[in-house]
Amino acid sequence: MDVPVERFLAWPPFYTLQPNLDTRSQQLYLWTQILLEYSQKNRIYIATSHDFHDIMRNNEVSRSLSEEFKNVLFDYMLKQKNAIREGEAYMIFWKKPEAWGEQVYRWAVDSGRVGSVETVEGLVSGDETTREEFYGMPVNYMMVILRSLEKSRKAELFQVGEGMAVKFF
Amino acid sequence: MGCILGHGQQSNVAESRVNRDDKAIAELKITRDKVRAYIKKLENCIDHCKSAIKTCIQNKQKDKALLALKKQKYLEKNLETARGEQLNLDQLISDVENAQIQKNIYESLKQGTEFLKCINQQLTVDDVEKLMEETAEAIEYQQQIGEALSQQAVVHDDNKLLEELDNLEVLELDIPSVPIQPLPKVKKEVPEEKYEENVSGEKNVIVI
Repeated sequence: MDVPVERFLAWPPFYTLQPNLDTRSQQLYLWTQILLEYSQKNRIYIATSHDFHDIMRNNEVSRSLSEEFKNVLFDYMLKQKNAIREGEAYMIFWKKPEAWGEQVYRWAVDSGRVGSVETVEGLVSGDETTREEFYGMPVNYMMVILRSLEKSRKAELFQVGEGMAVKFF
Repeated sequence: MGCILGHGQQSNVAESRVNRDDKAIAELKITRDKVRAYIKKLENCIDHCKSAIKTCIQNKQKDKALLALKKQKYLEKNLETARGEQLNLDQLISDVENAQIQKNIYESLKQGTEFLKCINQQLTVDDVEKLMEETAEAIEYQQQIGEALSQQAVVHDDNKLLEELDNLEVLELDIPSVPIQPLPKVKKEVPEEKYEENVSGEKNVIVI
């Protein structure tokens, strides 16, 4: 696809759910790319369709996504594992949890934290990670990432009092 | 060596790898997080106070400004205390982590020593001495066999040998001189290729 994704945003049919399945699948794929890029740029970790209000509407062509379209789109993103349901909202993963996990683990290795214990809160808001890309993400979003790291046995999560902590291996 | 390799971790793969020490450290760090958050909150409140004082002065509300200044002072005092607490906590965490490392080193040393003991148990001084004796005996026996064999090989008497050598020397004097003319050339029968193959290949095969 040579056409930049942004060009579709000025194209009225792009806002109408296409009946042809192939076309629809392509349309949903493109919309997903747009939302992921938007989320990454604006650091949107957990969102409802409200958070995408600006991008899901184009006043110049007087178009906006219908509620039905939004539901189909979020379902598609869930299926593609670009989103995870979080109550009424969605966690948006422009990078897969496994890829984030690698990044967190690399930080742990580089800073000599393998074998030691960190709080999840400390990972996302502590003084030691201010220069990391994952700095500032919500605690429950970080939990999804750490759980994926747990699957590869590079980390183990555990609860202490009211907080969650993680040990790297 | 079963004594060391026996108690591995393979029996409890699914078990947690987090121990009591880890939990204690985590608890300290969670408290540290809380103090950090509290410090952030205080800093934020102080900033608000400062801007409130500024607007009060601009609006010439002296009483209000004074009140806000008082608030700012006690917030700053609290902030100072909280920062001290954070420093103490950081130090304590560092000390505990250090102690944990030392404990790990101690455990490793202990395990190493046990392993060494275990090996030593399997190997007593008596056993080694006995083994060395046996080795010496075996070597002696081997030497005896060697001597026996070499004696068999030497069948000649030294005097007889000297006599034979004398006879050879006498014969040597009568040997005719080597002819001066070159020897007739023998036609080469081995083709070039085969010869090369022999040089590079098996040494044992000689093709004529």
